[in-house]
Amino acid sequence: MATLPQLLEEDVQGLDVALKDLIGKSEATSALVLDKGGFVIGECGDTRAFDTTTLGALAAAAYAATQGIASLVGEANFSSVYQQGENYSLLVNNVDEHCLLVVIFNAQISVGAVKYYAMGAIGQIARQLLIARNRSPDEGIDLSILNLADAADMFTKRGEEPSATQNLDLQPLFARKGTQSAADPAPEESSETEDPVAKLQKIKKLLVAGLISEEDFEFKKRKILEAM
Amino acid sequence: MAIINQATKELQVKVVYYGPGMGGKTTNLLKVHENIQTAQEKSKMVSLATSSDRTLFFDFLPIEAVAIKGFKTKFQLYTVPGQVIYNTTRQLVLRGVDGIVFVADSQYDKMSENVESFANLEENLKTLKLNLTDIPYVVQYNKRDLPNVAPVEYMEFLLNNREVQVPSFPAVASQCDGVFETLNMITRMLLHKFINESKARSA
Repeated sequence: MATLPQLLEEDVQGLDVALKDLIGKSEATSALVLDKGGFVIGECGDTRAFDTTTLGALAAAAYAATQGIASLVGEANFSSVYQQGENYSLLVNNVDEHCLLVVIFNAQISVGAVKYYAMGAIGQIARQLLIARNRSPDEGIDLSILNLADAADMFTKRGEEPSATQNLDLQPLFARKGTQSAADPAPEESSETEDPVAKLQKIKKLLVAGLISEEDFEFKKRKILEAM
Repeated sequence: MAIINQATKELQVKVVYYGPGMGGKTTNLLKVHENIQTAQEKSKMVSLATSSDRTLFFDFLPIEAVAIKGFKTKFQLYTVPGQVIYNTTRQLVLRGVDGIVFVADSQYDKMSENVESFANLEENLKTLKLNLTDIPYVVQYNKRDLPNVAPVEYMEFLLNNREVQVPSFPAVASQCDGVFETLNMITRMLLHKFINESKARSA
């Protein structure tokens, strides 16, 4: 799924202006721009009270679910979803093919007013996102400056020391069958380095045990012989 | 597809745990949530489950990586409902996916479900115009502590027998064995992919 490849300072500022304008006019509490995959692209207003990461994931999923319902009732698209609460209400609006606008507002504010001002914001946001999408990818950030070799394992269990540079060689992680990659983390014994005769015996055993079919056996045998 | 926000130096990545029903996808996320070391406050894990603890829509756990210089990297971990009837939901969750962890159930009698689920993954990706050859993924052979498990070689043959073999891990998710190994591998593969793409672009 194509989406926004990169966002530059000017894009974020553009989104910010549109969201601030919306909040100022509609008196909504906060507004978010989401990718339909569930990522928060921009947020504005008082977002401290909400876990916006999770809110973004759930709102995108809820919107996606309503699209499924729309097709079941013969509707091409539900362009917005309104959820009414006692304290806060929420409006999710479609921006374009890839993005959504979420507005959280006090339940006493009329949804009609929020919808009206959201329409203006949607136009601004869509224009800014189009600029970001059409920008040449070369102008974006160069991730090759990141040096993974310096990094430890990204996530460690509590009570364990972070393991330094374990498995972080910058070699390709995928190993083609019949070759061995230094970074290949195959469990226990590595079947790739095994002697072809042992491999053939192993698949024969699987065949005899009825775990694989004759066809599977022939396929695997051919692969092993080709790799010799 | 990941979101790269240059203004805030943020990279957001979506990882989906896929596999047959009751295979341990939710358990993987629960164990990550329970055991992860974080400097900042721990994020909440959201589970949209039925009363019988089966995932209805998805589980969601956002985590942040600390080890990448100059970049805040946010990984959003999702699971899908494994039951066959929830296919539409699985397609929704797969939308915008960057990396996949396929959690297979090691018990012999679950092999056909594993194979079916893997085929379903490929089909669902196709509907999103994605292809498994372009998406980093790893395979986890879960429930290795049970008595009736199939040999890893056999499972490799069934589930990891494509042109390019991917990293695979034996695991006992309920005891957190193999959970972090799997997570670290998929996150590392994803970063490799982004860095390589970035290098290719600037070349």
